[in-house]
Amino acid sequence: MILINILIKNFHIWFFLSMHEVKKRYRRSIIGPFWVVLSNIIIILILSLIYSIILKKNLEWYILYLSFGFILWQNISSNISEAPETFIRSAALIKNYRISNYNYIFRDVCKNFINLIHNFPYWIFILIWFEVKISLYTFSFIISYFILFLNIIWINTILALVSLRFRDFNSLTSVFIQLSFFATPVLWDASHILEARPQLSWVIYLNPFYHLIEIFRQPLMQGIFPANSFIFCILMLFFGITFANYLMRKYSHRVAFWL
Amino acid sequence: MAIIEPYIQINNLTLQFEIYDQNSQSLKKTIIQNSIGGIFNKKGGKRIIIKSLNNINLEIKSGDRVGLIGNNGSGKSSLLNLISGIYKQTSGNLDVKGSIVSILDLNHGLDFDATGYENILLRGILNGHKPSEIKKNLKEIIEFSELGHFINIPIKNYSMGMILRLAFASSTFYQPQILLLDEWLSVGDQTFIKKCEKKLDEMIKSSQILILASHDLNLIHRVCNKIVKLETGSIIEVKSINS
Repeated sequence: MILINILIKNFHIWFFLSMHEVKKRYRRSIIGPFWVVLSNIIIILILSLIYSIILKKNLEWYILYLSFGFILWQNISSNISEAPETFIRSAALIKNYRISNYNYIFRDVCKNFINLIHNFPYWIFILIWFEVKISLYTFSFIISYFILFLNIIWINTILALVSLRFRDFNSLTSVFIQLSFFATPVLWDASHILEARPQLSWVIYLNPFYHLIEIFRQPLMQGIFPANSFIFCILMLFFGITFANYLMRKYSHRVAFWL
Repeated sequence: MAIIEPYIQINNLTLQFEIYDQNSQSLKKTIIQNSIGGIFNKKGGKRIIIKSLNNINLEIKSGDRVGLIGNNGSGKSSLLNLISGIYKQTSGNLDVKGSIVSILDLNHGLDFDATGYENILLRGILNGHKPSEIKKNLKEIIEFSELGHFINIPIKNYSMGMILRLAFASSTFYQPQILLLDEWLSVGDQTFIKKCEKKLDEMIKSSQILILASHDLNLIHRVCNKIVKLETGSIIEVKSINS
């Protein structure tokens, strides 16, 4: 598979490029991506105060719930919403260098995943603060990190390619992301629907974002290994990468013309 | 490591690409057209197909310094883009052996927010060099560019001449076997042009290939030993000259 091959072989290229982006961010402000962490924390605290009352949840539990779900969602959504512009932003490089077009996708995804790491100190802090029980399964979030990374790569590859050819696809993506936020258990808990309307459980179980968040949230919050979600994400990864790889094999050489 | 003799072999090469207008760049309109095509087809997006290169046959061997000439739109840049691997041909064969560095665009993907130093690293990485390899050459590249302490400030503050120095130094220091230039040598201050020419001569002496697309005939006669003339995507003349 070309995608995986380039991911490994060109590691020094795309990783360098994304580190360069992060460095530039740090140059603009000393704490760099920590600004995003800080603003996330403020949003989480305020939303927790309000929604724990509306949804009748324990405040401590809700802060924890939102801290993992919301930060992950923010990262996923900013990652995906950047995807349609990936090739357009890199036009000058694509038209001048022979490196594979995959590198520009890997660069952007990796940059966002480096930003995600900036949230880890906060996660560790709240785990200690709320005295969450740690088990061996808690650390399976490290595997989740790479599963999410690879899943975002295939999603972004498809989005970048399609929205380069069809320029109005971009607005469709942002509508889709907005809708997904409300349809995914980030603010609310999956049990709300599963208990009240069991026949609607497919809305949750077929939502890829639910599983992508769950493979972090469950190990970190409860020390549980969510086997079903892991299986869902890995299957999705397999089919997604195959499809993205197929599209790129067919259309990658046209990117320079479409720009 | 065995050194491969660089060569470029082009057989029956044709390049055509589609120009999309706004309508055919719209997913909405494309779907409408394909489903209820008959009614809307007249207003629908037109795809214009441009034949940029037509049945090109060319052989370039080690030691050749090829000058590409021709009017605007004759296919010079397309040919360079194809050889450098940025474009892919529609039909025909293109066989390129050897390491390539191409400088096709004046801005050629420099990051204007980054410092000169960082741009040297970026350029090296994008040209396929390992970070360790670049760091080994860093000092010499900076020396060649004569930028001194300017190397540590963002290049958005550079003058055009300084940017060219940086670009030339960071692109040519790895001794590519094939160097592709598009309208590039004729800019910069006099002393640096001399230095660049000396550097180019060095590269040619170690039996490398140079392909230079230019409108400047004097320049081509000075630097090149072979002229390829293009007109509307076809080669109309190939001749050798003595420099």
